[in-house]
Amino acid sequence: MTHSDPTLFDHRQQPSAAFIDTLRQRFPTEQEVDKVLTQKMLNRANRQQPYAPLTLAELIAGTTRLLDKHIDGKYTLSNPRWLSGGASMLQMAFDLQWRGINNDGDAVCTPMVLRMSPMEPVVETSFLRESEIVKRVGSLGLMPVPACYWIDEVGAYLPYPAIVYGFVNGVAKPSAIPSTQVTGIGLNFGPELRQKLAPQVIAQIARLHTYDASTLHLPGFDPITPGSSASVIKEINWWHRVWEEDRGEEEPLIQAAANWLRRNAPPLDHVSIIHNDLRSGNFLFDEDKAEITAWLDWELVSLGDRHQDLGWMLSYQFGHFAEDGKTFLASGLMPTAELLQAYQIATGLPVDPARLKYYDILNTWKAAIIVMGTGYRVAKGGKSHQDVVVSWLSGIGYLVLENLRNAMTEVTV
Amino acid sequence: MIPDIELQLQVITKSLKDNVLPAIDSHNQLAQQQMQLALASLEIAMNHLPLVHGTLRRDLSIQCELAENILAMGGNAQGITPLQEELAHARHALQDPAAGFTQLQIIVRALRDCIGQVIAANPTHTDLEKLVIGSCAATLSLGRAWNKPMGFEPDPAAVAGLHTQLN
Repeated sequence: MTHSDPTLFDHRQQPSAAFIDTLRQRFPTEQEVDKVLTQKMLNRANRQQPYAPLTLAELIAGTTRLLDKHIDGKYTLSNPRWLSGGASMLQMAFDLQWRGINNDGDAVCTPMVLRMSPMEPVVETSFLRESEIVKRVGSLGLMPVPACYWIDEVGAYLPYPAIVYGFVNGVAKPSAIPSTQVTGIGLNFGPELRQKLAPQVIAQIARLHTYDASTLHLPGFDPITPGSSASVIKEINWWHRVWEEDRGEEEPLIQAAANWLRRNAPPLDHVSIIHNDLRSGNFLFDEDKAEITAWLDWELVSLGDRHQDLGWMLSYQFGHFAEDGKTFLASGLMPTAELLQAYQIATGLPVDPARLKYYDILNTWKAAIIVMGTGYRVAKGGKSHQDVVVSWLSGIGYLVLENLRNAMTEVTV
Repeated sequence: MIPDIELQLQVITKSLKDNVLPAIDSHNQLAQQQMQLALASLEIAMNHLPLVHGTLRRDLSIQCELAENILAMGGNAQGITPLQEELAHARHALQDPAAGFTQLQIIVRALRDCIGQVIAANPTHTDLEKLVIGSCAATLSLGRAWNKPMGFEPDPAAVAGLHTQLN
């Protein structure tokens, strides 16, 4: 190795087949996750050019090809427009005038949203898994979700993989700033609205988590049984592999935490559908009725331990102090202890403080990997439509790692 | 050399702020947001320029200390020889006045890689875990100071500035 050579080959930016294979062997994970991550690396090896902005016309053309494949009969795609979104996906809203998939229904106009990956998103996920779960959650009535129509799994019709949802009305945060002052960085609904939303959140999360997901047999998910920690190990391997595929700089703490997580992986007592980004800001609500209309952002969905979702929802960054200045409201909704008690009553399932702590560490570790690993790599390769946003967000990484260090300090005394 | 990098960053920032940003359609949220972030990133980079070398030297020192402590601890032999070699390179670089910041970055990343490999090769070494958790406090503090201008810190005053940490 020549340490003075500034053009030192970056094998993560130009991965070889051997490098890809080594990581696959070292970090066995779910079949569909392995497929998605392997494709990511093959694409990275084959696409050395950066992402170039796409036009609305290109998206319309690709969406039309996708609709032609799935709709039997005439339809009209109208009113296409960009939707501003987060750092992850490109979004186009449009209206579809149609008579249903088989062209045998009433003529309707359905507002829809196309969500498409950029060349490399900040989180590489499976639209197959996402669509399977969202459709199942919707059909079982577990939670309100957008209608999920079609996916382009590999970018066969569109430039990159994509998913088409029905457009849902609602807002993620109050349109007017609440008149009461609070401290903290989480979403502030205001006292009146939070009182109405909190019971709905509890009831809906309870239905989601209570459902016995071990009975699900979906192509996108490996079978999973209670009593085992095998699925937890696969999840650790998933994110550890992402770190090794994407990182620009090693962080010893990430490796140390991975060791601890594997040694301490708890067996599941009950298999739940895990949203993996369950918090205020990821559900829409009707402001007039104060009713939740849809839970969004299912791209990281997995099957596993409910404490993973709970721990995330209780995180400091999603909550704030109430108007009294001292009561912390988890996800801006309820005091933490109250929320956990309401959850236990609604689900009939216990909340284990030890597992809550475990998954707090897992979630924080994952978050660090995403912002400092994938965030770095996507921006470095110029692979997204918002590299400057992604790069900026990577700046939160050391703060996340400090939270991880503090959590690890508590459990390794 | 003229123009120096600091001047170039300064004039880019001023040109974009004075002439380009006002011309962007105020209804184009994406362009507005990206221009604001691009300008902020440029200003931070400009302010960091005098501190890059010192920050990398500090990080390299911390990683050298961790590497020495890991070697003193013993454990699985896998990864130990590369770690010893990289540590030697790193110590040499810290003594070399000609080592520029690009080279320092390559060397500190190589050393971090070797440290990570030793940790991965010792999955049940709990003393090694505690050593790493203790050692990384200093690098995380450095990293938080580096990124403090981005506004993510809930209590910025609680994070010592780069000038303080490098002196």
